Amino acid sequence: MQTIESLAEPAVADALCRGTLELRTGPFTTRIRSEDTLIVAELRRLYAAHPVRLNPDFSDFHVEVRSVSGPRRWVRRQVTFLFDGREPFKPLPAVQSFALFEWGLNWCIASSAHRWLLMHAAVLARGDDAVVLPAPPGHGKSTLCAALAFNGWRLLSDELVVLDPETGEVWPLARPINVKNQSIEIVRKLVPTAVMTQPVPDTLKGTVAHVAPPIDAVSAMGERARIRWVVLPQWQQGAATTLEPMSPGEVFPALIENAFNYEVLGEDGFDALSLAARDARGFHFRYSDLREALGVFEDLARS
Amino acid sequence: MAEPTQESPSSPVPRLKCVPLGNVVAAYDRHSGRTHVLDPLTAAILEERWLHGIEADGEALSSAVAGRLGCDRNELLLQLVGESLARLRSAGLC
Repeated sequence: MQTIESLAEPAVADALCRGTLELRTGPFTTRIRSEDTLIVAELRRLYAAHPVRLNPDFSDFHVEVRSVSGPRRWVRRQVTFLFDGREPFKPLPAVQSFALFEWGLNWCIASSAHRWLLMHAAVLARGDDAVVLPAPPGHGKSTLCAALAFNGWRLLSDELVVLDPETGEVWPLARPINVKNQSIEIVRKLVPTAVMTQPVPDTLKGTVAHVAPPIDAVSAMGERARIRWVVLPQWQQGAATTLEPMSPGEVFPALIENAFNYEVLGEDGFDALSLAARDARGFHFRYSDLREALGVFEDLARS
Repeated sequence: MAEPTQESPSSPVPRLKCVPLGNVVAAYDRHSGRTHVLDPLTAAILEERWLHGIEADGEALSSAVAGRLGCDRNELLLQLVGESLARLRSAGLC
């Protein structure tokens, strides 16, 4: 199997330039075109162990990150993201090109992969038991996800739960973790060996950085898991660590609220989420101390 | 308590799918595509109306609901059934 790290940098740059490099992330393949040097560099660092193909016959998504035309190509350069030749977003400063690629790829999956039920949540696993962490921005989801991913839990995704409604299994994506603002330093201190992009300030989400997924998560990218726990995290400064049970009747609407395409899937979506709510154990989780949080999740895994 | 799938006599496609979730019932209305989280009494009323076509609001419905839930058919149940029906009507479900 060919990986990005098995290719020399000029080969990656050339394939990206010609749009012939296909990246596999879980069940999805993405054909990427870009001449952006930051994209080349960060793909090589953050997706080093991911499988790639050159000149594939078919890919799920065809994306491109390229400089905009006109003055913005030269002065305060901007880049834009294209999906099948369309531009779903406004251009962003060139320094945000890799973040734009990541957000764009999330958008491609969330807006078109309706074979799966897609939820906005982090998901990790111990063995084939998955914990889903749905939370709005600012609730410490990605920070907790990064801490767990480097402390005994297998990262499936920090943003998207890809749930197969036919089997009830969650597919891993094993993509970089998007950390923001104060979380960047917290994760850097907690996991000094983690491969991380340079923090990019002044984005729509504040200062952002992406953390490479642990190598074992990438190796296990084909191993699906079943939702065993649904934990709604809330980071609150100075808060004591508490884990309060939720009833299935509370878990069910929480899952629906975080689903991107629940209504698109209709009854299949209802079946998938009602069964997940019935079979999983749900919790409200409040924390301020990541070490304590890790202990709680360790107890959860043993329970 | 409701079974996951119920047959409607007036339609080849069952209208309501119910899944018990602890002390509530998740209900999927195939006609509208809407999802509801209902208390068991309300879910039982919907099922009796849609499954067995019971249109009456009073004794017959209360009897059917009492049978389904395994409780006594008394004045309190009659009152609760009336309140649930009012909520269902205001939600456009009855």
